[in-house]
Amino acid sequence: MIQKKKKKSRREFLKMAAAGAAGMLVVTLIPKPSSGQRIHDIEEAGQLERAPDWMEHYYAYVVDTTKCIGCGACVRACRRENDTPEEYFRTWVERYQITDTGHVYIDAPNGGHDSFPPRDVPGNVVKGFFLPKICNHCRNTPCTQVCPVNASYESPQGAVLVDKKSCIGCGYCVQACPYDTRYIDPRTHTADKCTWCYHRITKGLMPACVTVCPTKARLFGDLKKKDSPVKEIIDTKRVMVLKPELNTEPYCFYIGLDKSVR
Amino acid sequence: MKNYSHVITVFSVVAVALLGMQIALTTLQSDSFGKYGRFRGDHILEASSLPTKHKGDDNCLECHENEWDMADAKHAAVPCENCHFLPKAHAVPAADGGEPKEGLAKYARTEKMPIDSSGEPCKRCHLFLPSRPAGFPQVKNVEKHIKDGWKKTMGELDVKSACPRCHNSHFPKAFAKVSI
Repeated sequence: MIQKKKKKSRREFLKMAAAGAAGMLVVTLIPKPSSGQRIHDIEEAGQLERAPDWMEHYYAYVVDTTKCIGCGACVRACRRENDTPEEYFRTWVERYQITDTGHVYIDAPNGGHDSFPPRDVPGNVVKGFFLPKICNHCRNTPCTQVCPVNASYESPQGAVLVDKKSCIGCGYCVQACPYDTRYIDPRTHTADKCTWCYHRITKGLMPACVTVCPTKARLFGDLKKKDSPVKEIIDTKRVMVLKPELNTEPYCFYIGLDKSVR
Repeated sequence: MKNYSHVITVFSVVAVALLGMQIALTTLQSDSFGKYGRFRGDHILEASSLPTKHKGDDNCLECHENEWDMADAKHAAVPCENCHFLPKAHAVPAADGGEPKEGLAKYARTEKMPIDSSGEPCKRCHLFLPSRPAGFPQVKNVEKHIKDGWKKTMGELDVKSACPRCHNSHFPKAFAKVSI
């Protein structure tokens, strides 16, 4: 009798457990309004209440390395516009010097902020170029995926942003970024990065680095506009991204990348 | 019922945990979270409402169009703020309390534009570096370049402030042909 009772209780326990599990599953399946939705989902559902022009734009950035003269105007402009701390850079310029022996010399004194002093390297420099770098604003974003508090995210227009009020400064995203574009701001102890000057682009202006570039080596534009020069370049010219093997899908495209670029 | 007590314990623990999570979500999570995606919705509005600092060439041309007709200038492609970053007090919009001066429609000048007249800003673009594009005008040997172009009538040779003595920053090529 006792055994029978035990059997019965086990069956009922299993029943209850199954019911409980199903109930919990149902609870987790109840969708939170508009959370976790991708851009096109929001677009289709028409759920946006404010800032209706959000869906009109989808931005991309183009760097023409064949035009960059390494003057550092972009680095200085970025520091002024975004008030970045000393020794931390949202954008910087690297100098590549490749000698006839095949050696590659890369440097970026002070991120190219004060342009570049001449640097003697062993051998003859047979190939050289400057390589401006910024956040690549990836679509398959390694940095936002690791954020434990959803402080870092992709904006509907394609810019990857950091919410400083939500950020706990754990630094996972700084480690996750394969392009080294993030840093922990020593003043606020939160993550910070290039935002494509989000406060400028949402007002119809260009990012500060694009505004001051004297040779138009940096270009920024809207992929949803048909007459956008950036769209034309990406559609018709041969562009490349940094570290394509990582499948991060960057939206910062480069013209004239060399095999020595890291 | 006595034999179910352990089951009830398990479920009550789960229920309390779920309830706690829900309470934590509603109290700790920002109200605007999830409004536009998996982030605090208010942040995207905060981020877009920050003040801009670089104003662009059109802003400068509102007052300086007649002063510098840059259309033919060699440096016309160089944005103003590349060399002259606009200090906040140089042009105060009338709406922000700046008193408009005669001829100036929108802005009042309260602070002079600082101009670096040493040769240092020139070197940032025109000092020879092997990494620069080959066709870009560059000076390989600065001292030799200055000595070759220097005329005794221009006074004592000071390498540091030499560039602007021969080259007008806006019309660098045209001015070089004129002797002082």
